[in-house]
Amino acid sequence: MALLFARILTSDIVMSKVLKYMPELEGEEQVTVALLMKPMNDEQAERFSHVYRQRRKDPTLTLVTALLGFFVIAGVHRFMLGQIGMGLLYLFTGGLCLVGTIVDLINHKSLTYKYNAVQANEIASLIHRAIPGRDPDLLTD
Amino acid sequence: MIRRIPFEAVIWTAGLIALACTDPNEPGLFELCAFKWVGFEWCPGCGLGHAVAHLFRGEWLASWNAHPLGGPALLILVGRIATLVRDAWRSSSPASSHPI
Repeated sequence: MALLFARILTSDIVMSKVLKYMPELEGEEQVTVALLMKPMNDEQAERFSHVYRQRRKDPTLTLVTALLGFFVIAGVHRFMLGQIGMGLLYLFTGGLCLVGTIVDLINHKSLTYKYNAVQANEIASLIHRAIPGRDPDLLTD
Repeated sequence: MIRRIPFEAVIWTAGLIALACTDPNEPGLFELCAFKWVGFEWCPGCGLGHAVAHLFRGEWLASWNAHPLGGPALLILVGRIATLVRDAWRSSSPASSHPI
């Protein structure tokens, strides 16, 4: 099962579109976006990459805003990633006495990836509704 | 089966369990504040650990006096753990991982 999964992920067919339209992505995010882009036609893929570039957050931005918790104000990164409750909690408790801030520094890539994956899924379903493409099952390229 | 247990959920759960097992009425038993480790006298979150520990024992007034945000903090953290576990559960079931 795992072997099959790995083989699917590394196949050229899955990766070709993401390499063409969003070559800057890497790692887990690249695989997620590649799987979403696979059934898209060229117009859909182009529109998707345009919208996704606008909406995705860079992990480095999460890191930098989390670092603000040491000096200025805690929780900015949580607000940025749409977690209002956690943002307020960090804001009023100094990032849970700095412990939460440190946890998030370690975890900043995963936090950002999860946010981006949700955005990518939303945009993909939006694109499929807005720009009708060929039946994904018939695509063989 | 959960393929990967989220790191963040483990930290919050461990923290809450640790607080539930601790007696907040014993003086100087635990010091969780990283600001104090580096020499600051006070930070906005100080007392939060005691507040949550009091909550687990039903000592509402003591909890409020330790830190008024003890209740909201507990609710938000439990909610966050639930979200993380739900997401991990969803992404581990192959049928729903890429809904197109």
